[in-house]
Amino acid sequence: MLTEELIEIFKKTPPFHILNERDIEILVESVAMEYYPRGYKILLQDGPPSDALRLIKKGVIKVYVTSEDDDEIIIDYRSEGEFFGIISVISGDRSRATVQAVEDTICYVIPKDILMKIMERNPTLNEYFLKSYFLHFMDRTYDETRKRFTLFCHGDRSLFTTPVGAIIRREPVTISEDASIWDAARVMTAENIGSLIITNKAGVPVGLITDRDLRERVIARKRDVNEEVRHIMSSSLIRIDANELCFEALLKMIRYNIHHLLVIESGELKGIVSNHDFMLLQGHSPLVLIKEIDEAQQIEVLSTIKSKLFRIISGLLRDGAKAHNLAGLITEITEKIINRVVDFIEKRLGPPPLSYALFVYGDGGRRELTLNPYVKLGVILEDTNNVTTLQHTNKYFEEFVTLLNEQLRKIEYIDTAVLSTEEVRCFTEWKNLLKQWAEDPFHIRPDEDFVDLRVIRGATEWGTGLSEYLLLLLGQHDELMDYYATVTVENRPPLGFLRRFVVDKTGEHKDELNLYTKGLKPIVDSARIFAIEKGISDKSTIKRLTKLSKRFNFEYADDVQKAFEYIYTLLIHEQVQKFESGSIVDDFINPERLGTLEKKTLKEAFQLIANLYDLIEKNYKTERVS
Amino acid sequence: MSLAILTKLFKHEYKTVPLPLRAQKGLKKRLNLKKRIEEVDFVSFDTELTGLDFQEDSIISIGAIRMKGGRIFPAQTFYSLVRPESELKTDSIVVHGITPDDLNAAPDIKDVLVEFFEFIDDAVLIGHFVFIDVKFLDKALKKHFGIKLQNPVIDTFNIHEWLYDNDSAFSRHYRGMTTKKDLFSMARRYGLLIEQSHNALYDAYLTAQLFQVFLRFLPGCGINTLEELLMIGRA
Repeated sequence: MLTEELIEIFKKTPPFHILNERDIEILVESVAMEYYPRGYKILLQDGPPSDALRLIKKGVIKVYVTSEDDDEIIIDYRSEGEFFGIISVISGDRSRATVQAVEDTICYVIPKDILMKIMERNPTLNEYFLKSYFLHFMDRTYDETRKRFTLFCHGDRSLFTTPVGAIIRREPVTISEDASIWDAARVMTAENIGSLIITNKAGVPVGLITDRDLRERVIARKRDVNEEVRHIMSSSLIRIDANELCFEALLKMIRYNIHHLLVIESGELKGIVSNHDFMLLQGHSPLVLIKEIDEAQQIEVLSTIKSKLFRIISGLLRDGAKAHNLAGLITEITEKIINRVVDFIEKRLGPPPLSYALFVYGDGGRRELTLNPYVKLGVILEDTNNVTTLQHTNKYFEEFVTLLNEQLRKIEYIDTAVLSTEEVRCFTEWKNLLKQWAEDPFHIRPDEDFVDLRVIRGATEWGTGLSEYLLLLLGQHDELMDYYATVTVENRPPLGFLRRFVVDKTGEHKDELNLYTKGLKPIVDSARIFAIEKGISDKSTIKRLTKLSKRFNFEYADDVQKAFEYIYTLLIHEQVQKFESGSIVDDFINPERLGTLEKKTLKEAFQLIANLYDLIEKNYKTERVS
Repeated sequence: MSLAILTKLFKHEYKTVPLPLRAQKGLKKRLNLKKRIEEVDFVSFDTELTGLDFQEDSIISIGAIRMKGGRIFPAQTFYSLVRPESELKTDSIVVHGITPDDLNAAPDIKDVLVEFFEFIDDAVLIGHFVFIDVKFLDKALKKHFGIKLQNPVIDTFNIHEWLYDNDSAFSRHYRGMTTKKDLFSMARRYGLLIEQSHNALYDAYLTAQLFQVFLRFLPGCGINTLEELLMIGRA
């Protein structure tokens, strides 16, 4: 009876859950239970090596070291379901820290000799205990999330597992650029293809024509079919490596608003993929949504997009989409929507008196929007000395701002204001503002998200100009970095005493915590600080962390990246679930509803954030501002 | 009686009993009283009975769990139902959750005792209000094998009483002690999880945990060897 219960416990406790029946039985047979009253010291710093690995059944312990000045430095608290003593067991070295019970504690004790025998047969256990938590268990945790999300999971994961090279159905068909339109059309008919690659004399692809081009650029314009084909080809050829996944190809097509991609394999043209290929691959393609947005003739049509987006994301989650897939797609769709709405506004108001660039900053700038998107927009106006023009422009944008916020709310895509007249300024005016920020940040409290700025309409270089100027200022003004560091660490991770989750005590979100502000934001903010410090120009948090890891050997970067991906995906899952059950889509989650592994992962993530904060606090002056 | 006759008597007694019980012979001599408590093998055990009347009632189940010092081995257990040698009373059926059918299919006490003694070997036995269990064990041992239990037996109740009188650290730790002396009240008082009650194995497990808690406080009171433990806890 007790044995069976013990077997059940160990079967559910990672990493032992991977053991086969026989090893579990051997393990359990030798397991002992020990009791330690609160205050009892289980292992002593510099004491004899631990004779066993201990798993906490009940209670809490703390791990600490005593410094030369007799200061107690707490390394960790551990509670139910967590282990201690492993390093000392494996190395056979004296214990490096003291382990003391802070509550009356009962542990399962796994004797060293048995553990070693089982580890010999199951090397994965070694990895679990000795390597970092995140690198090894994120996928499994994510599986747990997915299982909770959907009981069935059909095998079709093609978008995320199929390399784009694998869906090429035929050798590329090409024609020389000096061939006639008529020749090209005949080849397309004979080969029964919808698109044809145009090459120059050296055989290098220089353009592409499609059925649509023949229709729009030849027939509709009564063009002479004897003209050279290069006159009607589109020369914006976007390439993708054959090893990239289909989803990346799809995202590229959305981003550049094109329907065909050249697939390159080891420098050679391998073929061409079209959105049609993806539709064959996947029942619900995001491209359908793009088409709908592009072709909307009335703004009202856009009001169905949000619910369609939820459905597509839901499908992609079932197919195993990863954080950067989802974030990329949500951001692209949101940008498309905004651009389309601006199209309608421009149609209504006419073109503005001054040319402008519309930029997105924060989550959008980093391409990290969620399904409850916080879109922050700004407008850069062309510099002018003409006071009248400026007055007209300001008047124009007053209306523009109102309309944009109103329409986005009306189509139920974003219900908070995305743009204010405060955020419409001439280029030089923006620069002056940035300078003021840099000179007195603690007083002005600028938005640190501004660093992640990206133009989505108009002159890209204006945005790049502002970004670069801000980075320059950050390099010159230590105080501005200190300010960023301060606002980052002000947002404390929601782990309380004994690593319990800190949740809202009352109100609408009782027992819940905000995954966005407490999970994603701290990681985004910390990664940004380290990236700026190292001069990394990427804006996406994942890319920043990748570079921090690869180029600068930043010890936490890999773990933090996994933690970010995990929390992001968890949040999207929650949002989709809320949408499907008809609840308000927000950023809250009740941590107690999560599975054991998920809970542990979330705690590890918050702990990691706390470690990052320690590092930030060591490197910057983070005096609190009121 | 001369020593020779005594030896002869013993020889006679133990020659006829099954092998595991023969180990009872000379057990007390083998006992190393100077052994440190953490090295001592213990078995915590409990019996369920048809009732508490020594003359009429009998054992219907035995549960036991092995320990070494303060370590409990939850997967090293013994549990068996016993075909009762007396009438099953209807009111006790409810307590045990064991039905007459279960018991009719169970082995005889004679066979169960052999297995039980094989399991306990030379261990020091632990029980709560254990004199009752010992009394019924001895009754069955005498009837079927003509011997008496030789293993030393410790009562967790006695240890608790001793700690109550002698150790302020213990009562400080638990902010007072309990006046209710039954196993469950005590278990609850000292923060043990009561998973399933009135099953001989689970009760033995609970007793083991209670003993485990008490053991932690004994070194502070100068109780370090088996001999000292028996002095304060012997049933």
